[in-house]
Amino acid sequence: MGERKNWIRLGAVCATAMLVALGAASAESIEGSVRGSSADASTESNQKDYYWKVWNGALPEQPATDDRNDLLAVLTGKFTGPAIGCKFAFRGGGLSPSTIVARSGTTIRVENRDAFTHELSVEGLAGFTPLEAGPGKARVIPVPAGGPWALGDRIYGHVEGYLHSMRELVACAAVDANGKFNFQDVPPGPYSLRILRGSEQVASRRITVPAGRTLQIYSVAISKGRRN
Amino acid sequence: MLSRLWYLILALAVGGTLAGAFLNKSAASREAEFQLEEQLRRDHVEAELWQRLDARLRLDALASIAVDSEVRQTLRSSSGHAGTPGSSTRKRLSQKLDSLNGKLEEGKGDLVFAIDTEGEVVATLDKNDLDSVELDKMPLVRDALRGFMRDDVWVYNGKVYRMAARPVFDGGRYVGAVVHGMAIGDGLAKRLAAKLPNATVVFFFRDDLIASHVGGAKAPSSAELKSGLAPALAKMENGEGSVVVGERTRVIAARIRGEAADAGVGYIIGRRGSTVGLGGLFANTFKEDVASLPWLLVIGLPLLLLVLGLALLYVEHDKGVVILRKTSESLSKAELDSLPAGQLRRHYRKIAENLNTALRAGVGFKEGAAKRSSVDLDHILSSTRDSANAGYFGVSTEAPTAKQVALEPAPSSKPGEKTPPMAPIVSADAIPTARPADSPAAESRTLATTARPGRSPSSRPKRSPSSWPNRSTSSRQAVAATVRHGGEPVVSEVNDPPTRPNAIVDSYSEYDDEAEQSTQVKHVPQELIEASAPAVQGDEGHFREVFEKFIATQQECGASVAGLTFDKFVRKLHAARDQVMKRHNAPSVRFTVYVKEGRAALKASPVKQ
Repeated sequence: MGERKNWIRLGAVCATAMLVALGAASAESIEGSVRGSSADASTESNQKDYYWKVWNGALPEQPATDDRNDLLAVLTGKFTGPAIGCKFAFRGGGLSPSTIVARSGTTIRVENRDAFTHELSVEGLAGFTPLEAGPGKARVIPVPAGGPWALGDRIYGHVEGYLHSMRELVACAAVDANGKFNFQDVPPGPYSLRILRGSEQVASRRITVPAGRTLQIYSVAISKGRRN
Repeated sequence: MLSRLWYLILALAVGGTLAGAFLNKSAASREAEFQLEEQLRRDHVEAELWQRLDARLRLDALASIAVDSEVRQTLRSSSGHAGTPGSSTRKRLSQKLDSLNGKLEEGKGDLVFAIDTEGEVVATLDKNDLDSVELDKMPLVRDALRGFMRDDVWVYNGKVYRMAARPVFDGGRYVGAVVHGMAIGDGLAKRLAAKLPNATVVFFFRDDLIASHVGGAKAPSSAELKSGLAPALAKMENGEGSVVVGERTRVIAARIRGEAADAGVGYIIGRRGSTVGLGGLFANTFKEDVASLPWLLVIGLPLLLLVLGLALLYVEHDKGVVILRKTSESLSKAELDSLPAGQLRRHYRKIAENLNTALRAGVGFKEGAAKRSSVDLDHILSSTRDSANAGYFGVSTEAPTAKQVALEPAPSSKPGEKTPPMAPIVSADAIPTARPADSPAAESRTLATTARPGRSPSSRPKRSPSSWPNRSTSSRQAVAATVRHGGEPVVSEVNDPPTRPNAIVDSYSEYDDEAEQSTQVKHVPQELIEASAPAVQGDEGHFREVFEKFIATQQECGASVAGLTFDKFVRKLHAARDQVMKRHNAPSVRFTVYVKEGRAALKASPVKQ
């Protein structure tokens, strides 16, 4: 009888251990969206007669508003593996997204995936020398603690962005034109969801990624913040 | 002195002219440099305006693509959706773009993109390029998608393109944009250079020249412009204008307007400056400038100065030279015995005086002087007159000077021996004062010989005791006869005037004819003279001529000829002639009249034929 109980205990422990192991090895996804960032800026320019109004002096010409290219969603937490989904590149003539982040003490790789030659510069970051990177090339930036640092392009002046350094960076996700973002292959567990825009953090939320299902986070309100 | 002043003025004028010319050259060079710099600034403005106009023309040409129905419909169907349309649609649109682009002719693009509202390239000229390409981050595309027409310069896949983009409307909304690009090449440089005559235009991308056109032989080469790229860019960065490259080339550089400016794309315009030399000062002179010159002043003043200078030269130099030339000719022809120093000025007078002195002293070629046949009476009689200060009719008591000793041969010179140089001639005016005091013996002898009642001894010209041997009155007559007749003794009559070989006619005005008459013991008949000297009978005619010339010259000089008769004159000449004939062993003697210090004088020349 006692022996039978021991076998039952052992089975329960094994089952628990297997459940724990299965839970730890699972990679879940997070879907979410943000709101309240770009609609206010694009309202006027979306009018179909905006062009004519500007040309005739009825409206001042406004700088091109960002279609959330400068928004970046990141997860931070206790995770020692490589940062997930934190790949950045030049696309369409500029940084996509323009806000990039790297774990402190590591390096970040910026690829050139358009037909223009870029010369990425990081303002104030010691040890980084701007060099030309033609189509298909990449620049690797060592990221110390600190930041954020302003990014630029010595060839194309319209290129701008910010580099953030985070000690507990887990994953990165770009925000598309509709405000949606998507984290893939995130281990279940508690994290902090942060929305970065330029040099600022415009939203933050603590989340727990459950095992076995996709976490959906909608309508993350972001503050207007200070546009850079 | 005035002519020298004239040379000074001339030198100053030439120096001033040269200084002015060089100053003018510097000013002209500076002006030319300034003009060249200004020209390059205008070229720069012209190039900027031309590029804007060119962009506008390309945008206008691009409208034919933007309004095409197939382009609009395809972009409309593509916009608002993630991803691009199907490959067949994209391929069809690419073919359409190629067709429309071909119709642009001169404005035909090397790149043409049809872009949807998401900034994604739907179609390009390359119908086989089906990769998804985004251009949404480029300001040109973003502005076009927002409804603006824009132009730009891109460095795309390593090549430099002039870009133009315009929006595509369909159904009252923007459905995309058409982007057009033309590579920068020599064609563009040529078109731009056509607006900038004689200029060279190059486009550069970093250190490489990607297009160039040399605007003719006067324009600098593209290599010259490339060599000046770095300094021109440095100058441009400082906001300054053009920079000198090489010797005569000036260039101005500018970044091209557009996104590619920071990529090192720009253009240089170069021009070659013209060298302004002294000859180039008149390069820009027009006929109107020449016509407006004050010719009266330009020509008249130099002519006036020229005449003035010539007149000064004539007065100071030419006149003296002419006088010297003429008188020297007369001197050579024995028409004159000296140069007219009184008619000359300054240095010419000094020259004439020195020459006269030299003529009197017989200074000249040693050989010539030795052979000289014409001698002054003073010299002829030097053996009988010790001092030049002694009058021609006086008797000097001084011993011969060292110079005379050196110049004259010993009195006992052999026949045929060369004639020594002439002794200095002293003016007759100086005779009374220069005559040394006679020795008492000589004075007493003179007084005894020429005792003249009612006249003090001092009133008569004193005779200096000559080197003629002291002799008694009677011996003098014998000597005179000996001289006259060449060794044949002639006994003088009592009334014959004393023959004084050392006292030849020199200043008859000072000679008291009556006193002379009173000393004349007996006049020698002319017939006797002629009979005793058959060789010289023909000389009477010569003597007459000499006498008349002497009288004429004396009168011309304003001297008195009172009391001078031909007989007395001839007697003097006879005495002198005999003396000369004896001394020089000459068969005859010719006399010439000359002016010495304003008075007539005679010169005897032995004739050895």
